[in-house]
Amino acid sequence: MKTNLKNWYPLVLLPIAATVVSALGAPSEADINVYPYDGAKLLVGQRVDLRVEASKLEDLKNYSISLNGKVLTDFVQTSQGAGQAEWTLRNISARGGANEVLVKLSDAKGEVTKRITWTGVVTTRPLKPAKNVILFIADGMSWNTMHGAQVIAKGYNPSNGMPRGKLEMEAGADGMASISTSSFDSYIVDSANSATSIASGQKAEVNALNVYRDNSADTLDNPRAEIITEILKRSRGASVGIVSNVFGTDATPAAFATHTRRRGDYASIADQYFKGNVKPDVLMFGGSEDFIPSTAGGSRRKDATDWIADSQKMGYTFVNNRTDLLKAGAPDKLFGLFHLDNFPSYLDRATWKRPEMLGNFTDLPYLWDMTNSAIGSLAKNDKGFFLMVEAGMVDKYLHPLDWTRAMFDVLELDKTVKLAKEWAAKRDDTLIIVTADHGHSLTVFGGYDTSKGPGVRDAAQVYEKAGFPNYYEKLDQNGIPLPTAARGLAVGFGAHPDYCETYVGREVFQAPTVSDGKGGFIPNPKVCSEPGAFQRIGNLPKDQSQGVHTADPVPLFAFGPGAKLFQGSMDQTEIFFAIAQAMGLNATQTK
Amino acid sequence: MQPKPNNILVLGLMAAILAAISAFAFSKPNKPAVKLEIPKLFSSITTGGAVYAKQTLALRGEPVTLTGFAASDPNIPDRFVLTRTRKTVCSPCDESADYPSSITVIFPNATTEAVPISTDSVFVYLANNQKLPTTGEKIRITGKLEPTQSTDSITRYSSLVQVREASLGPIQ
Repeated sequence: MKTNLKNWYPLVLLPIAATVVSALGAPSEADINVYPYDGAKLLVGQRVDLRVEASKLEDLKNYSISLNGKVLTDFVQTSQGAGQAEWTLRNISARGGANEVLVKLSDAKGEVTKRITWTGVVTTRPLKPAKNVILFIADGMSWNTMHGAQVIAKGYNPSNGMPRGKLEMEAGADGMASISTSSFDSYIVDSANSATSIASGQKAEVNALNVYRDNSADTLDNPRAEIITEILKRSRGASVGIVSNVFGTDATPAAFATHTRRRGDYASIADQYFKGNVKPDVLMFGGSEDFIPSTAGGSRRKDATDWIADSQKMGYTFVNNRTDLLKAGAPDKLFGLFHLDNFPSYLDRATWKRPEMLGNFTDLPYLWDMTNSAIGSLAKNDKGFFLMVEAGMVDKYLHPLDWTRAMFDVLELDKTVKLAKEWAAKRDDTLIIVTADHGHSLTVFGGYDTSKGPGVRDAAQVYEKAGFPNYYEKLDQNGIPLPTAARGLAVGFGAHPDYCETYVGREVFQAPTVSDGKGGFIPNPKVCSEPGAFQRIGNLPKDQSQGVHTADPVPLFAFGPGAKLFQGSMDQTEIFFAIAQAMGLNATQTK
Repeated sequence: MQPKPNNILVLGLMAAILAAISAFAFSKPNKPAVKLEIPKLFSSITTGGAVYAKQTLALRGEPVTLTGFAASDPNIPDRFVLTRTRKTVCSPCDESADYPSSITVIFPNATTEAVPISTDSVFVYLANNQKLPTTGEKIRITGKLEPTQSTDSITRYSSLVQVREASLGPIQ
């Protein structure tokens, strides 16, 4: 009888398999997380902190962590609790192309391995690199908000329906992209992790600034990703400027010089401006509350630190009003704190001037004043500069559905972009980018006949009855339209709480909702008592008091060298790499 | 000799009269509360900080009356924020940064220090037996003025002005 060998296989293989299993032991049940996360894109030479976290360990025996086949040493090992171990190694960087981190652990139960990959992005030397970058961020400005502002600024020719012009942020752009946003832990972003995407090219958790997740409670010890401004300082000695009209420790300005898991670490953010790796040469914004000692009325600090005094000892010229800013010229280092908190909106400062909105702050610089001064100071450095300018109050007013204030703040930004474009036109080494960090659910759907008074639904006319808004016919002292027009915009929000609608703006700000005393929110009765106001039933959860950020893509326009790198639809993190490429940034260098 | 009941009554009456006289003679006369307005608590608010008005400092420890809107958390029954305008209260907010100044953030039992300091509000500690007003309620409070920057230990609400031993009254 012929023996069928196939029948023998199990008898042969089973003892071999059993031998292998007994040699390896059962696998460990430990969970391993590695940061930077699997799939991260890192600029070659960009410094990041490698952190490996293990949990569900049973009596850790051995570990080995290697990058691209080379075992790494010098980790700081910690433990956040029973069965947990962490290893942190700061300031490593990826090589070009594929990178692999291999973690091997063994504990009482056996072995476990974790393999993750990063992609190292290599920049090439462009024919015409950008020496300077001016990045404008309109916080919360969706495509719709930007276009609504354009309708206010330019309008249409009523004889043929042709648009009368474009915003400066759109006109003559060399590159244009639709930017999609997402967080490490959600697909909706806040202003901290969206700015992180732009500043360091990484996906971060909501409320995080240029750090990865970790398992420790300390919000300031998280693994960090190097920021474009840190790379520029380190590799080139370029100058850095940060300008905004919100409080200076707010997320967007903070993302260009600081690292923290919690954007609310205001005092630390203020300190990091002056003690961190960037030490921006120009800082101008509101929010002195985080820079003055705790003894000063209104300070949010808990200590005696006085950055107004200390910054001057470090060589900064300090200014706190528009008059002094315009006189300051172009000092090497410039620190401007113009408000205790956020600036009032453009309309409050330029047109309405209501004391309820301005208080004692009647000499505030415009965004273009600050930008002009910043460029003057920064451009003195022949190694180039990076300037971030934020129109931050756009978001602050879109949250409470005050689209009038928000859109006119877009127009303040637009006049600022014009100034930057004119400055850059005299040279050919400056990349200008205008984008937003995330959107809001604003939409423009018709024309509002203001002669019928506020809150008249039949005055919000659509299709052929919408007509042509004519704000552009009356301009203010800055050449920006006045907010009153016979034919205004009809605007609504897609995501909102219960609130009262009137269609028109009001000179003294009113929040859309007030607390119901039971954890929910009701329409603000003061607004509801205005003539014509009617209630709109919300579609947000009852614990939401205002409008929210959306998943909608946002615009990006680019001008100058490298602008063509911005095209089509891009993830927000790609902005970081495109800027690096436009500048021909070599992050492996340290000057 | 045991005092007669009538004598006790007389002695008691005399003691009561003496006590009343001494109370009248030696106690501070009951000062009328000075009516203040929240915006006028500060003479100026600049980048250097808020500056208390002279009257505010002069009235330290004195009874004052203020009107405004309550911002309270039902879980904390003996203290609340009094704001000039009716505010939205955000007790679950873990970050104040995204919220405009129209929102008062209260963190019950929080360890965070990310609390906005408002020059538009005072922090009120209620006297015993006073009922916590509900959020949004328009009220008048009377109590001792304390113009000191301080962070409440429970709510972590940082305020520049507190009113202590406050009682509530209707709007006049």
